[in-house]
Amino acid sequence: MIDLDAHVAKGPLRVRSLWSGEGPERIARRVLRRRRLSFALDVVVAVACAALVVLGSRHTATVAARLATSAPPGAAAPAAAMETFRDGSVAELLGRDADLRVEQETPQRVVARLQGGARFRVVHNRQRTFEVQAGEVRVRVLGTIFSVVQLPSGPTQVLVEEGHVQVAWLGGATELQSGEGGVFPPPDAGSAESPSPAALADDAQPLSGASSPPPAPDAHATIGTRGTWRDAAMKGEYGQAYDELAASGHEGVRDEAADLMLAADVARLSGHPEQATAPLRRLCDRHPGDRRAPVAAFTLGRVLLDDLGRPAEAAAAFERARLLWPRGPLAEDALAREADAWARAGHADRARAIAEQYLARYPAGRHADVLRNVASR
Amino acid sequence: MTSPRAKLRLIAPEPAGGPSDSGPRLRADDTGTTTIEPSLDSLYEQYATFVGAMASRILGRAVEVDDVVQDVFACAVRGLRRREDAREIRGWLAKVTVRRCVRQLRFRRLWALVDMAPTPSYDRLADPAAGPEERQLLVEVYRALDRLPSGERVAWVLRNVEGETLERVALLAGCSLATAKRRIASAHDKLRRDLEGRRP
Repeated sequence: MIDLDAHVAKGPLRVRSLWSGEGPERIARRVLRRRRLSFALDVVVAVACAALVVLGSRHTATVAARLATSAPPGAAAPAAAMETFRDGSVAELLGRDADLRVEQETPQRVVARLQGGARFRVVHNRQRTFEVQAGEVRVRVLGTIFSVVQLPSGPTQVLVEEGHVQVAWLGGATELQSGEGGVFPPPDAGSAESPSPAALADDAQPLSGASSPPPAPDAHATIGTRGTWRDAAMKGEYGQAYDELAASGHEGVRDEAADLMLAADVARLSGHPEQATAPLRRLCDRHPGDRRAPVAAFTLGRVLLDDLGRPAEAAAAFERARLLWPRGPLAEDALAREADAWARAGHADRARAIAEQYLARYPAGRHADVLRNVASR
Repeated sequence: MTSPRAKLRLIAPEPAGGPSDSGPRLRADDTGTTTIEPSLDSLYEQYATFVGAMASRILGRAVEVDDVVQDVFACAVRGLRRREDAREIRGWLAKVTVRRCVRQLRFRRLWALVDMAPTPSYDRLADPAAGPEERQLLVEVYRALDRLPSGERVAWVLRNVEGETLERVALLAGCSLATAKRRIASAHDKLRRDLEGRRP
């Protein structure tokens, strides 16, 4: 009987080497073969990735994607690229074709050239001017939130959410206050597609219900006077603002349109879209007559549709956005996005009905081609 | 572009008794720094025997040993250039060899599910100096080792065939000292039961 313990106790078991003693030439060949295999694998992976990208882009070239490329003003495209300036100001590019080039960035002056559309949240600073050049139009601000979109037909659409901006073009200039918007340079007065700023101001005011609370005071008058989260938000430090807002709980946000809108922006821009829905809903519910309410409804729709994947709720939000300001600058985009949301929710009939409504109202609209496809399904 | 570590610096001579007794190819430059050429040939010449013997003890099958030696030195082409101290080379090669052997053992277990070939014989494994009883023991031990998990097998072989200390076993196997001890004890118990169960 062989005793393992006894043998092991004597010392290591004696095993001879089985190595054949071959030279290093085969090693060199193996290294070469391995490198070739690695290269081939890299090529295969690269081709597979490229194929996936192509397939993915084709897959997403649906109604939603096409609408996204001509994204409307007034709401940020959550998946879009974001440009952060040194002072904390943020530009959210609307659509894949949008391009923002910073031409000058000093403590006294920021100049950016925009192609496509973008929504700007500019940190308030009286010591410097912030200018956006889009086509022939230049928008100059001190501190505000506004959107600039170059329309395919040539002019530039500007919508101001907060504060005021100065819009200048060859041969003229004007100032837009919070809630105002327009297409610049101003077209002929008879154009139905591009109403003049004056016409816009006449008929494009948000609904003002009798029961709604009085309009909120100017944003900058209320924001920044209390609470550190507001200070951080106004400096563009949204992550810090969100942490402080979360620490302060629900009491940290006042029941005012400006404060609710700011809280929603803090949540969105710090990467917490779910937390943005509550202040946006509250703004729409409690302040439907405020000039920010349509923008809040539209933003809510974008968040629900693009960030949270809840298209049915998004459709309701877009519907609310256009009903709150039926002839406002967001109405057309809200109608198109509503059709898209219903389509994504699987309600083909509703999507078709909304698309037909859009085509009847905006036969030459920006989304007409896409929505014709929806209507014909 | 010239690599900043094209040559390995030799900080101290190899301890006597190791495979590097013959010493790396030394060369002194103008500043008096002694260097060695890290060519594959010289590394292979000095350490292939060591790696081959170690792989033989862990795996027990000649066909796999050659593969592991090639794999280890294919890694060495790149990995050894990062080692400045020649004393590290042997330890590093030992660790790479163990790691490659573990991988080979795992592959062997996986392959065994579909492999219809008969279990290889371990008759050629014993050292010529071993007596008949030890030869028989080695054949049975290596058959039994084939039924153990790779980690336990490697730890037991490093301790009882390679003759490493417990600390070195832990180092080479990439585990804690306690784990190494536990694996060795577990493997030893299983081997003993296996060998006793075979006896008439």
